[in-house]
Amino acid sequence: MSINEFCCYRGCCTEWEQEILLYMDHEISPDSCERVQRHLDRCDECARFYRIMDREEQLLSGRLRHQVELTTEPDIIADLVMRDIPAFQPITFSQRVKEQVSAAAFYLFDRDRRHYSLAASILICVCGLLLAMRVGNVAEVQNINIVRTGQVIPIAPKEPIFIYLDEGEFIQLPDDSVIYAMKDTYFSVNSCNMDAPESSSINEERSLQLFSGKLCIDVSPHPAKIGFSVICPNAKATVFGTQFYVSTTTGPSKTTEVGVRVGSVMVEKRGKNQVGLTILENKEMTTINSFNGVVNLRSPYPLRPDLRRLLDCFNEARRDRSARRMLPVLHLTENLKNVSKDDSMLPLPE
Amino acid sequence: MTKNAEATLVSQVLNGRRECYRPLVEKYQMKIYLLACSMLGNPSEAQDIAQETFLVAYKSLNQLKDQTKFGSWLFGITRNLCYSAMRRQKIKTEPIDSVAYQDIPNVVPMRPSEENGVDILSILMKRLDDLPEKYRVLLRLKYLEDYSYQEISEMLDIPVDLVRSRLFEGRRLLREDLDNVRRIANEH
Repeated sequence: MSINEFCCYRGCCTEWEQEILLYMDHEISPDSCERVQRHLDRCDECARFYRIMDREEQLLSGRLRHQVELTTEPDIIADLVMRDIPAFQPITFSQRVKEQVSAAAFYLFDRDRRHYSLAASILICVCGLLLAMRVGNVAEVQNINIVRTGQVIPIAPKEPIFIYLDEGEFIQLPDDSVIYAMKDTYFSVNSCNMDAPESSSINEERSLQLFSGKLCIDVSPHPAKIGFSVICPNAKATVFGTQFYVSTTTGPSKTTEVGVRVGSVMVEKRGKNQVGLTILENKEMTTINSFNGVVNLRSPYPLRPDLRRLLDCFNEARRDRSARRMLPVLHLTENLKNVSKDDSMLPLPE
Repeated sequence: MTKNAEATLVSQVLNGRRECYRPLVEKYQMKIYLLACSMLGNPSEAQDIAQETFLVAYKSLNQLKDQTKFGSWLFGITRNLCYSAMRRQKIKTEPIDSVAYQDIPNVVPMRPSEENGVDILSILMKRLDDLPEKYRVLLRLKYLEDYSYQEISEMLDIPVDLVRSRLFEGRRLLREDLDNVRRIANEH
């Protein structure tokens, strides 16, 4: 590029200079964007200024990126960091008690600061906690053993699980139910009790909480007919043995989708003073929308083709727990979803 | 990955699940690396700083009060490490009205022609390196990865309006130099 190509744009449209730069950076509103485009069509000086600036920025950007890419590979940072860090030792309850007792001892026996009242209150708290544990008021929390990537991992009930792998992840619960969680799904296993008596409340024994994201679930039938429920922000799906799909979104307007491949699922809407449920049978789905505290539960309708394909693929892939086998159908689902976006914007019948 | 998901991962790391730190590193490694690159101008040193940032953050993770602000906290650590590195190496940043901007010693015709053509890209690169730090870092971040004003504001912990005005000012300074270069080239 030659120096002579730089025109003297000053004195022509200096007031447009900042607007044009914001337009180049995609940092202006659609209205202003249109205004700048109209001006660029009209004004030769500004159009030339824009062309030159754009080329100049591209040249600089290319040279800087070239320097950075040639010198190093930032992707190796994660490997290097993970190689160097030790595991955190979680603080156990007994360690906390020890800390409190030593703090009390410090205040009690330190010559300079004998805060007897503070030491006494800490000791009383510790003694109260110990007593509560002894009499069984504070129950020991039993871990749930799940299988992730071939390894048995004990997790605490309600401990959040976040999926960050592109291909998602297969997780097996202690009751042999299989979950496929897609990327960016955030959920927890609240309970998975296989020893519950038949008379107990069905919804409390096997339950997941889905905060956001998408899950495909293959629920194994329980001998004692204990139900399996998935709790979403605005809906709850309860099943006894089926393959189904649940997705939910976060934000002020939450949308939950439930689709069934095989079996039946009871879907209830959740919200303040909101009552309503529907039963989904084979190859049916429903949508629950909530906005400003009002929850709308749509009547069952045929399962969307993309979800049907997804659940079929899940049915195949769950046998060898291969998340990679889900990748082609995930891409396809994303594309189909974009196409059917207009359809989902239709008002929902009650 | 949302802020809440990040907070969840941080709490899982604090509960002893070391492997949960990887997605956090993977999410921020590029931004941290480019921020260090922009501040130091040396990619290999920036990689060391990026690595050190994640190690320091891991060791002091229990000091993070608001776990949803993990990203901002990480950028803060990077900036501090970069400033320390700059102090160690006595990297100086010259003020805008220094001599380097008044006379332009590096205007050498690369391809002498009837158009008085010069390598504008080399001049731009030199001018960019000589800009005061507050403009240089911003412009480098913009050119390296085309980050939005909001992202740059988070990385440098400055208001979005300030990002906008500094980018505008930085670009104006680069162009002013070019006007001078053009004038000198024409005089030759």
